Amino acid sequence: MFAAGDVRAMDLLYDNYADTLYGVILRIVGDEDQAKDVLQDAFVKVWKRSKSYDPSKGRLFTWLMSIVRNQSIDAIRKTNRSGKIYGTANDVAIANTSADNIDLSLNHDIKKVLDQLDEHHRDLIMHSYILGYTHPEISEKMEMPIGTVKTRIRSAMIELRSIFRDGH
Amino acid sequence: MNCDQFLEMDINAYISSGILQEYALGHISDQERSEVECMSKIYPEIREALTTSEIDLESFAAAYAVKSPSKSRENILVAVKRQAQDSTIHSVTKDDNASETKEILIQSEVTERKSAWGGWAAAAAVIAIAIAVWQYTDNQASKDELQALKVEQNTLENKTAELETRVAQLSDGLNEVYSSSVKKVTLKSVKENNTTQLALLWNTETGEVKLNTSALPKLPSDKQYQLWVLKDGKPKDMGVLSKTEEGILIASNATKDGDTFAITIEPLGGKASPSLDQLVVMGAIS
Repeated sequence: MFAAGDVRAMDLLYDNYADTLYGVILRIVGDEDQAKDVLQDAFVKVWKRSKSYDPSKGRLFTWLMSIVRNQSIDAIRKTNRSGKIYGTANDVAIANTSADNIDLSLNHDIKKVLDQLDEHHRDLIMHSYILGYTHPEISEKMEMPIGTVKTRIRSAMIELRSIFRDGH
Repeated sequence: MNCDQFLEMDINAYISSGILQEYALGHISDQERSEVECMSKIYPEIREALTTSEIDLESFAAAYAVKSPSKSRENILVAVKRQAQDSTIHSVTKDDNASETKEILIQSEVTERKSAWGGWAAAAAVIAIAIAVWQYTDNQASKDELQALKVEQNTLENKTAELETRVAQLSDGLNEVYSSSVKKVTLKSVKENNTTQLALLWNTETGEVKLNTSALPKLPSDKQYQLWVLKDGKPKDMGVLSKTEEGILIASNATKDGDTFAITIEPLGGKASPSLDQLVVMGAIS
Protein backbone atom coordinates (compact mmCIF):
# COMPACT_ATOMS: atom_id res chain seq x y z
CA MET A 1 0.00 0.00 0.00
CA PHE A 2 1.07 3.54 -0.67
CA ALA A 3 1.67 5.48 2.49
CA ALA A 4 1.07 9.22 2.60
CA GLY A 5 4.48 9.71 4.21
CA ASP A 6 6.25 8.52 1.05
CA VAL A 7 4.61 11.25 -1.02
CA ARG A 8 5.71 13.81 1.50
CA ALA A 9 9.27 12.46 1.45
CA MET A 10 9.46 12.65 -2.33
CA ASP A 11 7.98 16.14 -2.28
CA LEU A 12 10.48 17.17 0.35
CA LEU A 13 13.46 16.15 -1.74
CA TYR A 14 12.06 17.86 -4.82
CA ASP A 15 10.85 20.97 -3.01
CA ASN A 16 14.10 21.46 -1.15
CA TYR A 17 16.56 20.90 -3.90
CA ALA A 18 15.03 20.87 -7.40
CA ASP A 19 15.29 24.63 -7.99
CA THR A 20 18.84 24.91 -6.73
CA LEU A 21 19.93 21.87 -8.73
CA TYR A 22 18.08 23.11 -11.80
CA GLY A 23 19.97 26.41 -11.46
CA VAL A 24 23.25 24.48 -11.44
CA ILE A 25 22.28 22.33 -14.43
CA LEU A 26 21.09 25.33 -16.43
CA ARG A 27 24.37 27.11 -15.85
CA ILE A 28 26.35 24.11 -17.06
CA VAL A 29 24.29 23.02 -20.08
CA GLY A 30 22.91 26.45 -21.00
CA ASP A 31 19.76 25.13 -22.64
CA GLU A 32 16.39 24.86 -20.91
CA ASP A 33 15.20 21.74 -22.75
CA GLN A 34 18.42 19.90 -22.11
CA ALA A 35 18.51 21.12 -18.52
CA LYS A 36 15.02 19.69 -17.97
CA ASP A 37 16.20 16.28 -19.22
CA VAL A 38 19.33 16.40 -17.12
CA LEU A 39 17.30 17.27 -14.01
CA GLN A 40 15.09 14.27 -14.67
CA ASP A 41 18.02 11.93 -15.32
CA ALA A 42 19.78 13.20 -12.23
CA PHE A 43 16.76 12.56 -10.01
CA VAL A 44 16.44 9.04 -11.41
CA LYS A 45 20.10 8.53 -10.64
CA VAL A 46 19.62 9.90 -7.13
CA TRP A 47 16.82 7.42 -6.63
CA LYS A 48 18.91 4.54 -8.01
CA ARG A 49 21.89 5.40 -5.83
CA SER A 50 20.00 6.46 -2.72
CA LYS A 51 21.36 3.48 -0.82
CA SER A 52 24.93 4.55 -1.49
CA TYR A 53 24.46 7.88 0.29
CA ASP A 54 26.34 7.75 3.58
CA PRO A 55 25.34 10.63 5.88
CA SER A 56 28.46 10.15 7.97
CA LYS A 57 30.53 11.26 4.99
CA GLY A 58 28.87 14.56 4.35
CA ARG A 59 25.71 16.50 3.76
CA LEU A 60 22.96 15.29 1.47
CA PHE A 61 23.25 18.35 -0.73
CA THR A 62 26.97 17.78 -1.34
CA TRP A 63 26.12 14.28 -2.53
CA LEU A 64 23.23 15.49 -4.73
CA MET A 65 25.45 18.22 -6.13
CA SER A 66 28.14 15.77 -7.28
CA ILE A 67 25.55 13.63 -9.08
CA VAL A 68 23.97 16.66 -10.75
CA ARG A 69 27.28 18.18 -11.81
CA ASN A 70 28.51 14.93 -13.33
CA GLN A 71 25.19 14.33 -15.07
CA SER A 72 25.29 17.84 -16.56
CA ILE A 73 28.88 17.55 -17.75
CA ASP A 74 28.15 14.12 -19.26
CA ALA A 75 25.19 15.66 -21.08
CA ILE A 76 27.24 18.37 -22.76
CA ARG A 77 29.87 15.80 -23.64
CA LYS A 78 27.23 13.72 -25.44
CA THR A 79 25.85 16.66 -27.42
CA ASN A 80 29.33 17.57 -28.58
CA ARG A 81 29.30 15.39 -31.69
CA SER A 82 32.18 17.01 -33.54
CA GLY A 83 34.41 14.09 -32.62
CA LYS A 84 37.09 16.23 -31.03
CA ILE A 85 38.30 15.47 -27.53
CA TYR A 86 36.00 17.21 -25.13
CA GLY A 87 37.48 20.20 -23.34
CA THR A 88 35.38 20.98 -20.31
CA ALA A 89 36.59 24.52 -19.85
CA ASN A 90 35.63 25.91 -23.26
CA ASP A 91 32.40 24.01 -23.66
CA VAL A 92 31.19 25.00 -20.24
CA ALA A 93 32.22 28.59 -20.84
CA ILE A 94 30.03 28.75 -23.94
CA ALA A 95 27.15 27.01 -22.22
CA ASN A 96 27.48 29.31 -19.26
CA THR A 97 27.26 32.42 -21.45
CA SER A 98 23.90 31.40 -22.83
CA ALA A 99 22.61 30.66 -19.34
CA ASP A 100 23.29 34.24 -18.33
CA ASN A 101 20.26 35.34 -20.35
CA ILE A 102 17.90 33.27 -18.23
CA ASP A 103 16.27 34.94 -15.26
CA LEU A 104 18.26 33.63 -12.31
CA SER A 105 16.28 35.69 -9.89
CA LEU A 106 15.27 33.46 -6.97
CA ASN A 107 16.80 34.00 -3.55
CA HIS A 108 17.37 37.75 -3.66
CA ASP A 109 18.35 37.74 0.01
CA ILE A 110 21.28 35.38 -0.37
CA LYS A 111 22.27 37.12 -3.59
CA LYS A 112 22.39 40.42 -1.74
CA VAL A 113 24.77 38.87 0.78
CA LEU A 114 26.85 37.37 -2.01
CA ASP A 115 27.16 40.81 -3.61
CA GLN A 116 29.62 41.58 -0.83
CA LEU A 117 31.84 38.78 -2.10
CA ASP A 118 34.81 39.88 -4.17
CA GLU A 119 33.91 39.45 -7.85
CA HIS A 120 36.94 37.27 -8.61
CA HIS A 121 36.22 35.13 -5.60
CA ARG A 122 32.61 34.68 -6.69
CA ASP A 123 33.80 33.77 -10.15
CA LEU A 124 36.18 31.17 -8.73
CA ILE A 125 33.53 29.51 -6.58
CA MET A 126 31.10 29.60 -9.49
CA HIS A 127 33.60 27.83 -11.73
CA SER A 128 34.92 25.30 -9.27
CA TYR A 129 31.69 24.49 -7.41
CA ILE A 130 28.75 25.19 -9.67
CA LEU A 131 30.33 24.56 -13.07
CA GLY A 132 32.61 21.76 -11.88
CA TYR A 133 35.84 23.10 -13.38
CA THR A 134 39.00 21.33 -12.28
CA HIS A 135 42.01 23.32 -11.08
CA PRO A 136 43.88 22.90 -14.40
CA GLU A 137 40.78 24.06 -16.28
CA ILE A 138 40.43 27.16 -14.12
CA SER A 139 44.17 27.75 -14.42
CA GLU A 140 43.86 27.68 -18.21
CA LYS A 141 40.73 29.80 -18.42
CA MET A 142 41.79 32.46 -15.96
CA GLU A 143 45.43 32.35 -17.00
CA MET A 144 46.93 31.84 -13.57
CA PRO A 145 49.24 29.14 -12.19
CA ILE A 146 47.54 26.15 -10.52
CA GLY A 147 49.15 27.07 -7.17
CA THR A 148 47.54 30.51 -7.38
CA VAL A 149 44.17 28.94 -8.29
CA LYS A 150 44.31 26.84 -5.13
CA THR A 151 45.28 29.75 -2.87
CA ARG A 152 42.64 32.04 -4.39
CA ILE A 153 39.89 29.42 -4.03
CA ARG A 154 40.89 29.05 -0.42
CA SER A 155 40.70 32.83 0.15
CA ALA A 156 37.35 32.83 -1.65
CA MET A 157 36.01 30.19 0.73
CA ILE A 158 37.30 32.13 3.74
CA GLU A 159 35.62 35.29 2.45
CA LEU A 160 32.41 33.37 1.76
CA ARG A 161 32.46 32.12 5.36
CA SER A 162 33.02 35.58 6.76
CA ILE A 163 30.19 37.21 4.80
CA PHE A 164 27.74 34.50 5.82
CA ARG A 165 28.84 34.79 9.43
CA ASP A 166 28.83 38.59 9.60
CA GLY A 167 26.19 39.27 6.99
CA HIS A 168 23.46 37.19 8.59
CA MET B 1 40.45 2.55 4.89
CA ASN B 2 41.97 2.16 8.31
CA CYS B 3 41.59 5.47 10.08
CA ASP B 4 44.02 4.68 12.91
CA GLN B 5 46.93 6.25 11.04
CA PHE B 6 45.19 9.62 11.39
CA LEU B 7 45.05 9.57 15.16
CA GLU B 8 47.31 12.21 16.69
CA MET B 9 47.22 14.44 13.63
CA ASP B 10 47.62 18.19 14.06
CA ILE B 11 43.96 18.99 13.46
CA ASN B 12 44.39 22.77 13.36
CA ALA B 13 47.00 22.45 10.64
CA TYR B 14 44.71 20.04 8.81
CA ILE B 15 41.74 22.41 8.99
CA SER B 16 43.78 25.37 7.82
CA SER B 17 45.33 23.40 4.94
CA GLY B 18 42.19 24.06 2.88
CA ILE B 19 41.60 20.38 2.11
CA LEU B 20 38.12 20.45 3.67
CA GLN B 21 37.04 23.22 1.31
CA GLU B 22 38.42 21.24 -1.61
CA TYR B 23 36.40 18.28 -0.40
CA ALA B 24 33.22 20.34 -0.17
CA LEU B 25 33.90 21.82 -3.61
CA GLY B 26 34.26 18.31 -5.01
CA HIS B 27 37.87 18.65 -6.20
CA ILE B 28 39.80 15.99 -4.43
CA SER B 29 41.58 12.75 -5.23
CA ASP B 30 40.14 9.45 -4.02
CA GLN B 31 42.92 9.07 -1.47
CA GLU B 32 42.39 12.56 -0.10
CA ARG B 33 38.67 11.87 0.01
CA SER B 34 39.18 8.80 2.23
CA GLU B 35 41.56 10.83 4.37
CA VAL B 36 39.01 13.63 4.92
CA GLU B 37 36.28 11.09 5.69
CA CYS B 38 38.51 9.38 8.28
CA MET B 39 39.52 12.66 9.85
CA SER B 40 35.96 13.92 10.07
CA LYS B 41 34.89 10.67 11.73
CA ILE B 42 37.67 10.92 14.31
CA TYR B 43 37.64 14.64 15.07
CA PRO B 44 34.38 16.53 15.69
CA GLU B 45 36.19 19.83 15.01
CA ILE B 46 37.02 18.64 11.51
CA ARG B 47 33.51 17.40 10.97
CA GLU B 48 32.21 20.80 12.03
CA ALA B 49 34.62 22.71 9.79
CA LEU B 50 33.65 20.49 6.87
CA THR B 51 29.93 20.95 7.50
CA THR B 52 30.45 24.71 7.67
CA SER B 53 32.09 24.72 4.23
CA GLU B 54 29.34 22.50 2.86
CA ILE B 55 26.62 24.79 4.20
CA ASP B 56 28.37 27.88 2.80
CA LEU B 57 28.48 26.29 -0.63
CA GLU B 58 24.86 25.16 -0.35
CA SER B 59 23.88 28.76 0.30
CA PHE B 60 26.03 29.88 -2.59
CA ALA B 61 24.28 27.42 -4.93
CA ALA B 62 20.87 28.35 -3.55
CA ALA B 63 21.48 31.97 -4.54
CA TYR B 64 21.57 30.82 -8.15
CA ALA B 65 18.48 28.64 -7.97
CA VAL B 66 16.09 28.76 -10.92
CA LYS B 67 12.45 27.72 -10.73
CA SER B 68 12.35 24.26 -12.22
CA PRO B 69 9.82 23.71 -15.07
CA SER B 70 6.32 23.03 -13.75
CA LYS B 71 6.06 19.64 -15.47
CA SER B 72 9.39 18.42 -14.15
CA ARG B 73 8.10 17.06 -10.88
CA GLU B 74 5.50 14.93 -12.60
CA ASN B 75 7.94 13.74 -15.30
CA ILE B 76 10.51 12.81 -12.69
CA LEU B 77 7.99 10.78 -10.72
CA VAL B 78 6.95 8.94 -13.89
CA ALA B 79 10.58 8.31 -14.83
CA VAL B 80 11.41 7.00 -11.39
CA LYS B 81 8.36 4.78 -11.52
CA ARG B 82 9.43 3.39 -14.89
CA GLN B 83 12.91 2.85 -13.55
CA ALA B 84 11.52 0.92 -10.59
CA GLN B 85 9.50 -1.34 -12.89
CA ASP B 86 12.38 -1.87 -15.33
CA SER B 87 14.64 -3.03 -12.59
CA THR B 88 11.95 -5.40 -11.26
CA ILE B 89 11.36 -6.94 -14.68
CA HIS B 90 15.08 -7.14 -15.31
CA SER B 91 15.72 -9.06 -12.15
CA VAL B 92 12.78 -11.43 -12.71
CA THR B 93 13.79 -12.32 -16.30
CA LYS B 94 17.45 -12.89 -15.60
CA ASP B 95 16.98 -16.66 -15.28
CA ASP B 96 13.94 -17.07 -17.50
CA ASN B 97 13.45 -17.48 -21.24
CA ALA B 98 12.25 -14.87 -23.72
CA SER B 99 8.59 -15.90 -23.97
CA GLU B 100 8.22 -15.55 -20.24
CA THR B 101 9.72 -12.08 -20.48
CA LYS B 102 6.94 -11.06 -22.84
CA GLU B 103 4.35 -12.40 -20.48
CA ILE B 104 5.84 -10.57 -17.56
CA LEU B 105 5.95 -7.36 -19.56
CA ILE B 106 2.25 -7.72 -20.39
CA GLN B 107 1.48 -8.51 -16.79
CA SER B 108 3.49 -5.52 -15.81
CA GLU B 109 1.41 -3.27 -18.05
CA VAL B 110 -1.78 -4.66 -16.58
CA THR B 111 -0.45 -4.11 -13.09
CA GLU B 112 0.49 -0.58 -14.07
CA ARG B 113 -3.08 0.16 -15.16
CA LYS B 114 -4.49 -1.47 -12.06
CA SER B 115 -2.35 0.51 -9.70
CA ALA B 116 -0.77 3.62 -11.14
CA TRP B 117 0.75 4.38 -7.76
CA GLY B 118 2.31 1.00 -7.11
CA GLY B 119 5.40 1.50 -9.28
CA TRP B 120 6.71 4.71 -8.05
CA ALA B 121 5.55 3.97 -4.57
CA ALA B 122 8.58 1.71 -4.35
CA ALA B 123 10.76 4.47 -5.75
CA ALA B 124 9.41 7.03 -3.35
CA ALA B 125 9.89 4.57 -0.53
CA VAL B 126 13.59 4.31 -1.31
CA ILE B 127 13.90 8.08 -1.42
CA ALA B 128 11.94 8.21 1.80
CA ILE B 129 14.61 6.02 3.34
CA ALA B 130 17.33 8.34 2.08
CA ILE B 131 15.53 11.32 3.54
CA ALA B 132 14.81 9.51 6.77
CA VAL B 133 18.50 8.69 7.07
CA TRP B 134 19.34 12.30 6.34
CA GLN B 135 16.82 13.58 8.88
CA TYR B 136 18.02 11.03 11.38
CA THR B 137 21.58 12.26 10.91
CA ASP B 138 20.49 15.85 11.34
CA ASN B 139 18.52 14.80 14.39
CA GLN B 140 21.48 12.82 15.71
CA ALA B 141 23.72 15.83 15.18
CA SER B 142 21.26 17.98 17.14
CA LYS B 143 21.20 15.40 19.93
CA ASP B 144 24.99 15.32 20.06
CA GLU B 145 25.04 19.10 20.10
CA LEU B 146 22.48 19.18 22.91
CA GLN B 147 24.50 16.65 24.90
CA ALA B 148 27.66 18.73 24.42
CA LEU B 149 25.80 21.85 25.53
CA LYS B 150 24.52 20.08 28.65
CA VAL B 151 28.03 18.99 29.55
CA GLU B 152 29.27 22.51 28.95
CA GLN B 153 26.46 23.94 31.09
CA ASN B 154 27.35 21.53 33.89
CA THR B 155 30.98 22.50 33.74
CA LEU B 156 30.06 26.17 33.81
CA GLU B 157 27.72 25.67 36.75
CA ASN B 158 30.45 23.87 38.70
CA LYS B 159 32.90 26.58 37.82
CA THR B 160 30.46 29.27 38.95
CA ALA B 161 29.87 27.50 42.27
CA GLU B 162 33.61 27.16 42.75
CA LEU B 163 34.14 30.85 41.99
CA GLU B 164 31.31 31.86 44.31
CA THR B 165 32.94 29.94 47.17
CA ARG B 166 36.27 31.49 46.35
CA VAL B 167 34.79 35.01 46.24
CA ALA B 168 33.07 34.37 49.59
CA GLN B 169 36.38 33.21 51.08
CA LEU B 170 38.22 36.20 49.71
CA SER B 171 35.57 38.57 50.94
CA ASP B 172 35.72 36.98 54.42
CA GLY B 173 39.48 37.32 54.27
CA LEU B 174 39.21 40.99 53.39
CA ASN B 175 36.71 41.63 56.17
CA GLU B 176 39.14 40.07 58.60
CA VAL B 177 42.01 42.17 57.38
CA TYR B 178 39.96 45.34 57.86
CA SER B 179 38.45 44.26 61.17
CA SER B 180 39.84 46.08 64.21
CA SER B 181 39.68 42.92 66.31
CA VAL B 182 41.97 40.98 63.92
CA LYS B 183 45.70 41.35 64.32
CA LYS B 184 48.28 40.39 61.77
CA VAL B 185 51.43 38.78 63.15
CA THR B 186 54.49 38.08 60.99
CA LEU B 187 56.50 35.02 62.04
CA LYS B 188 60.16 34.94 60.98
CA SER B 189 62.95 32.43 61.20
CA VAL B 190 65.11 32.65 64.29
CA LYS B 191 68.15 31.41 62.37
CA GLU B 192 70.43 33.70 60.42
CA ASN B 193 70.35 33.41 56.61
CA ASN B 194 66.95 31.76 56.75
CA THR B 195 64.30 33.84 55.02
CA THR B 196 61.33 31.64 55.87
CA GLN B 197 58.48 33.79 57.08
CA LEU B 198 54.73 33.62 57.25
CA ALA B 199 51.81 35.66 58.44
CA LEU B 200 48.95 34.74 60.73
CA LEU B 201 45.71 36.50 61.48
CA TRP B 202 44.58 36.43 65.08
CA ASN B 203 41.01 37.34 65.96
CA THR B 204 41.29 38.69 69.50
CA GLU B 205 37.51 38.54 69.96
CA THR B 206 36.99 34.87 69.02
CA GLY B 207 40.55 33.70 69.63
CA GLU B 208 40.66 32.10 66.16
CA VAL B 209 44.05 31.94 64.43
CA LYS B 210 44.36 31.63 60.67
CA LEU B 211 47.67 31.14 58.96
CA ASN B 212 49.24 30.41 55.62
CA THR B 213 51.57 27.42 55.88
CA SER B 214 52.59 27.31 52.22
CA ALA B 215 55.95 28.98 52.94
CA LEU B 216 57.00 26.25 55.38
CA PRO B 217 59.41 23.62 54.04
CA LYS B 218 58.06 20.12 53.51
CA LEU B 219 58.66 17.76 56.43
CA PRO B 220 59.48 14.06 56.57
CA SER B 221 56.35 11.99 57.11
CA ASP B 222 57.09 11.32 60.79
CA LYS B 223 57.28 15.05 61.65
CA GLN B 224 54.70 17.78 61.94
CA TYR B 225 54.65 21.52 62.59
CA GLN B 226 53.06 22.69 65.83
CA LEU B 227 51.82 26.19 66.67
CA TRP B 228 52.29 27.75 70.08
CA VAL B 229 51.21 30.94 71.73
CA LEU B 230 53.42 32.38 74.51
CA LYS B 231 52.32 34.59 77.35
CA ASP B 232 55.17 35.94 79.46
CA GLY B 233 57.39 33.13 78.21
CA LYS B 234 54.84 30.39 79.03
CA PRO B 235 53.81 28.30 75.97
CA LYS B 236 50.30 27.09 75.19
CA ASP B 237 49.58 24.44 72.56
CA MET B 238 47.60 25.80 69.58
CA GLY B 239 47.59 22.49 67.69
CA VAL B 240 49.56 20.76 64.96
CA LEU B 241 49.58 22.15 61.43
CA SER B 242 49.27 20.23 58.24
CA LYS B 243 50.60 21.73 55.06
CA THR B 244 47.66 22.21 52.72
CA GLU B 245 47.36 22.93 49.01
CA GLU B 246 45.80 26.36 49.50
CA GLY B 247 48.14 27.13 52.40
CA ILE B 248 45.48 28.78 54.57
CA LEU B 249 44.32 26.90 57.65
CA ILE B 250 42.73 27.56 60.99
CA ALA B 251 44.59 26.49 64.10
CA SER B 252 42.74 23.79 66.00
CA ASN B 253 42.90 25.67 69.29
CA ALA B 254 41.93 29.26 70.00
CA THR B 255 43.48 31.84 72.28
CA LYS B 256 42.35 35.21 73.53
CA ASP B 257 45.59 35.90 75.29
CA GLY B 258 49.28 35.99 74.37
CA ASP B 259 52.26 38.09 73.26
CA THR B 260 54.16 35.80 70.87
CA PHE B 261 53.35 33.08 68.32
CA ALA B 262 55.86 30.35 67.47
CA ILE B 263 56.07 27.23 65.30
CA THR B 264 58.23 24.23 66.10
CA ILE B 265 58.90 20.91 64.38
CA GLU B 266 57.57 18.02 66.48
CA PRO B 267 56.98 14.29 66.11
CA LEU B 268 53.70 13.34 64.36
CA GLY B 269 50.74 14.33 66.56
CA GLY B 270 52.65 17.04 68.41
CA LYS B 271 53.84 17.39 71.98
CA ALA B 272 52.53 18.93 75.18
CA SER B 273 55.44 21.36 75.41
CA PRO B 274 57.59 22.74 72.60
CA SER B 275 61.05 21.43 71.68
CA LEU B 276 62.84 24.76 71.77
CA ASP B 277 65.75 23.52 69.66
CA GLN B 278 63.19 22.80 66.92
CA LEU B 279 61.91 26.37 66.71
CA VAL B 280 61.25 27.32 63.08
CA VAL B 281 59.61 30.75 63.16
CA MET B 282 58.32 33.15 65.74
CA GLY B 283 56.78 36.60 65.91
CA ALA B 284 55.75 38.99 68.64
CA ILE B 285 52.24 40.41 68.74
CA SER B 286 52.50 44.19 68.43
